[in-house]
Amino acid sequence: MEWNKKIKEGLQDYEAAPPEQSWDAISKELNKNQENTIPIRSNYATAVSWIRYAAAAIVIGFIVMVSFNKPFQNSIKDTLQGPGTKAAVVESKLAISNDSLPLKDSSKKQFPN
Amino acid sequence: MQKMLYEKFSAKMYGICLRYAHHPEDAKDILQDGFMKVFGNLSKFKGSGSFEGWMRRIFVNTAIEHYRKKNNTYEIQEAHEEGVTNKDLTAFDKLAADDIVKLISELPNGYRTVFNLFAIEGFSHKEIAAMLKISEGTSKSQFARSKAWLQEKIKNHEKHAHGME
Repeated sequence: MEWNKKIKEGLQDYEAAPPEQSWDAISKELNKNQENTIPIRSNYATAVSWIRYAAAAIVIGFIVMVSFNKPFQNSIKDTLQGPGTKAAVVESKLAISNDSLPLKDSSKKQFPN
Repeated sequence: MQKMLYEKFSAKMYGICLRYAHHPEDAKDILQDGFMKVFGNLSKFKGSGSFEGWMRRIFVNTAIEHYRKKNNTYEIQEAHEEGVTNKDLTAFDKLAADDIVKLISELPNGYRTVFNLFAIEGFSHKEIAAMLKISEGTSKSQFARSKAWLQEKIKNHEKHAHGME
């Protein structure tokens, strides 16, 4: 079977120049396939879109809560205009007025000659 | 990257296509289908063997599929090995590779595929039988017949060449 070995060696790496138009046909087919496939999104792009959806959902949820929930509205009002704030304003006014009172002789006592 | 692969391997792969095809036009179709398969399955190449060997297998399988599809029924008929003389194709030595490929492409479809798979690709008759869904005996007899056919053709080729001189 010497011929078998020879033919195998001779033809296994046999090369022939392909027709010139064959690459054009292949690239045309490749382009056609690429047009039909949905582009694969990168992980980063997917994460960004999920973050956007999450942020939009939080904003919409907050708006819905404020619009339809009376106790929630009241609690916000109380927080903004409630007694706590008023008291703080009154206290700060008193503090200002106290600070503006004329000093007594204490200064003399504190800083003797 | 795809064009680079095509430029590097197209000549070798077209050589394979020519051996399995009956006409250069069929070889061109096999080449195109084969490269489409290679590009579509690049991610499946594990890197365990050589890339060229992987491509080669794809092209051989594409050629077999091509003829199955085209002829609808594969042209190999079940036959027995008896009565087929086992000839040695020593006359091949005198021919150039291009002439041998031309002679192989002229073989009838069934003979050609078995001859290519056994003599050049190096598959065993058992493997060929599984690939072509035929019996091992049929693969052996088809190979023996293909050799007898080629021997006859080479004789005619030589006669023709001497007649020209």
